[in-house]
Amino acid sequence: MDDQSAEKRTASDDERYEAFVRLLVEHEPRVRSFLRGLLPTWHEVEEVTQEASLIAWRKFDDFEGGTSFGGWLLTIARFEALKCRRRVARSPLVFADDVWELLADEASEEEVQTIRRRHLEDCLGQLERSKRELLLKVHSPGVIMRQVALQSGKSEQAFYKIIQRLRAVVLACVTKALAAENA
Amino acid sequence: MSHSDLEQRIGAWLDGRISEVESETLQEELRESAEARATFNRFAQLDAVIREVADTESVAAISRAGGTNASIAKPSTARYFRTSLALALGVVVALSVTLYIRQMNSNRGIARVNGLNGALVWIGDGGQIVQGSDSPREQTRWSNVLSEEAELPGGTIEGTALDSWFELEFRDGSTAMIFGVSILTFSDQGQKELRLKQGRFSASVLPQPAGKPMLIHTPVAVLKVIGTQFDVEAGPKSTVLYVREGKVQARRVHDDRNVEVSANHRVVVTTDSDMAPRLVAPERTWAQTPVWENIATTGDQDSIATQATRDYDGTRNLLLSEAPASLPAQDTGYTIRSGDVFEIRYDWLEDNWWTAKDQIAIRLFTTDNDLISGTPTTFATVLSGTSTTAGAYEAASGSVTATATEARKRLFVAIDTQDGGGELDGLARLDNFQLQVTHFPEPGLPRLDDFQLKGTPFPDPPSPPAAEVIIGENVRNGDFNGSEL
Repeated sequence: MDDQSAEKRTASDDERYEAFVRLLVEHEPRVRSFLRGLLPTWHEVEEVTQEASLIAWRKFDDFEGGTSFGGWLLTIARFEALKCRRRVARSPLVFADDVWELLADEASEEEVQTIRRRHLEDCLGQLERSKRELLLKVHSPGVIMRQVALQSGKSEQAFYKIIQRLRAVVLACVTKALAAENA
Repeated sequence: MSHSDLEQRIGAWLDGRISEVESETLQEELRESAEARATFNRFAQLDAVIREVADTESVAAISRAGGTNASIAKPSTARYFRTSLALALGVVVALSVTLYIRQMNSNRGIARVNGLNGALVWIGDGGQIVQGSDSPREQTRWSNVLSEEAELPGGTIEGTALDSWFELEFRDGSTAMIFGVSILTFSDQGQKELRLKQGRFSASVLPQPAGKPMLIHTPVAVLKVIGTQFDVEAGPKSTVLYVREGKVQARRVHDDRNVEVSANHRVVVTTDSDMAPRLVAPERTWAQTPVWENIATTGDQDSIATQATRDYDGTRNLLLSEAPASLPAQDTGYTIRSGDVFEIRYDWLEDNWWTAKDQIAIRLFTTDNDLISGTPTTFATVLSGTSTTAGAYEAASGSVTATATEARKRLFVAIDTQDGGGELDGLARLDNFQLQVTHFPEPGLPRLDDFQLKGTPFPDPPSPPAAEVIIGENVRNGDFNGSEL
C-alpha cells in the first residue's frame, strides 16, 4: 500500500484506524532496523518502537496524506531514540553525539535498502542446521549469550567470534540477494 | 585495523559486551569512514531482522525446513496481529494506555531481568515479597516482576534452591547473576551498590562513571569494581573473588586491608587469610588434554576441557556440561576379563544451571572394533546420585562386574550426564577420577595355579586378588585430577 492511500481525513474512524495499521505494519520493520544501530540494546529498540508507534497514532491527524509515512515515522522514532539515548548516556554503548548523528542521518536515507525477513530466511536456509539454530538461539528473547557460550564448552571469545563469522556469512548472502533484486 | 577487526567490534557492540577502549576505537572508525558506517548499519539492520525472526519463528520450524533451497515458513503475522490488537485496544482505551505508560515510566527500574530459573524470592521497595519462577505468586503490585524483561527498581533477590539462578542487566549494560542458594541486594542511585550476603555471584561490569565504581559488600569484604568480569563466592566467614578480566579492588572489612586483584587471579578473604592474589591457570581445551578426548558427535577438541577455577584441591578439574556437544571419554587400554570388578570413585560439584535432579553418569563401554571411534555398546552406567551438598564437592562411587559378554574387549570410559530437569544446560565439575579393576575368576573355572598345585598335599592358599589402577592419580589421568596446574 502506498502512502497516497492514507486519506484518513475523509475516512471514518474505522477506516482511518485500518489505514494506520496497514502503514505501520509496512514500515515498522524499517523502524526497528533503523533504531537498532542507534540504541544499545534490543530492549530499548522495542521500547522506542512501541513509543513511536503510539505517538504516530496520536498524531496521525497531523500526517499529510501523499507524503512518505515511512519517513514521518522514522522522524518520530529518531526523536524518541534521542530521548532514550539521553537516559542511558553514561553507558559506553552510547556513541558520541557526532557519531550518533552521522549514523542516524545515513540510516534514514531513503535509498537505504531494507533487509527483509524473506532475504534473511532464504539465507538462513543455506546455512547448516546447527549453525542456523545457533544463530537464532543467541538472538532469541531472554537468551543470555554468555550462558550459551559456556554451555557450548568454548571460550567466550572463541564463541563470540563464531557468532560474528556467522553474521558476516549471512550478511554477505543477504547483500547479494539485495543486489540481484536491484539488477 | 582490518575489516575483520571492525566487524568483531561491531559484533561486540551489538551484543552489549564492548569495552570502553573498543567503543572508542569503533567510534573513531565510524567517525572517519563512510564505509565503516555503512558496514555498521548493515550489521545493525541484520541484527534487527534476525531478532524478529528468532522472536516469531520457532527454531524447530526453521530446522525442519533444512537444505539449500529450504522452504521456510512464511513470516508469521503474530507480531502484526499483536501490533494491530494493541492499537485496537489503544483506540478504545486511549486514556488508559496513556495512564499505563505514565505508570510504567514512574516505575522505571534500575535493572532488567535477563533470565531466571528455579525458586526465587524478590523483596522490592517497601518490602513487598514476591515469589517467582517455580513458586506460587502472590498478588502484589509487583506480582509479575519475576519474569524475563521485567524491570526492577532495586531490592533483594534470593535464590532458595540448588538450581535457582537469576540474571540482572543494569541500564548501562552491566550484568550480574546469582546462582544456587544466594542472597543479593542491589541498588543504583548513580552508583551501583550490591550486597551479597551469601552464595555465588558473577558479573560483567562495563566501565563505571569516574569516582563511582560498583561496590559489592560481602560479610567479610568490600569489592570495588571499575569495569571488569569476575566471580564471587561469599559465605559468613569467607569470600572468594576470581577476576576473569580487568581489575577488582578487595578490602577486608575487619582490618581495612586492601589488595588489587588482576585478571586470572583469585584471592580468598577470611579474617586471617594472607589476601595474596594467586594466579589461576588458564583453561585448557581437549586438544591440550592428554588421554581424554571429547567424543560427542557435535563437539570439538577446541572446547574447554579443564579449568582451575572452583577447584577441589588446588588442581584442575573437568568442566562437565549437559550439552550434547560435550562427552569426555578415553580408551583405557585395558582388555576386559569375565569377572572383572571395576570400581569408580570421584569428587564432583554442581555448578551453574545444574538442577536438583541432574546426575553425573559414568559409562563403561566397548566398541565393535576396539577403537574409541567404533560403534559403542554401554555395558554399565554408574550414577552419582543427585547433589546433596550445595556449593561443595561431594564424593561419588560405584562398582560394576564384567560378564563374559564384554570379555576380551577393550574397555572405554565416558563421563556423561543424566538430565533430570528437562533442560540440557547444566554444568558440573569433576576431580580425582579413579577407575580400578580387581579380577575375581568365576567359580568352577580352572586356574593356572590349580594345575601347578596338583599333587601337592598341602597347597598354599591363593593370594587375594589385588586391585589394579586403570585410571588414577598418576595413571591415565589427563590433567584433571593431577597435581600440576
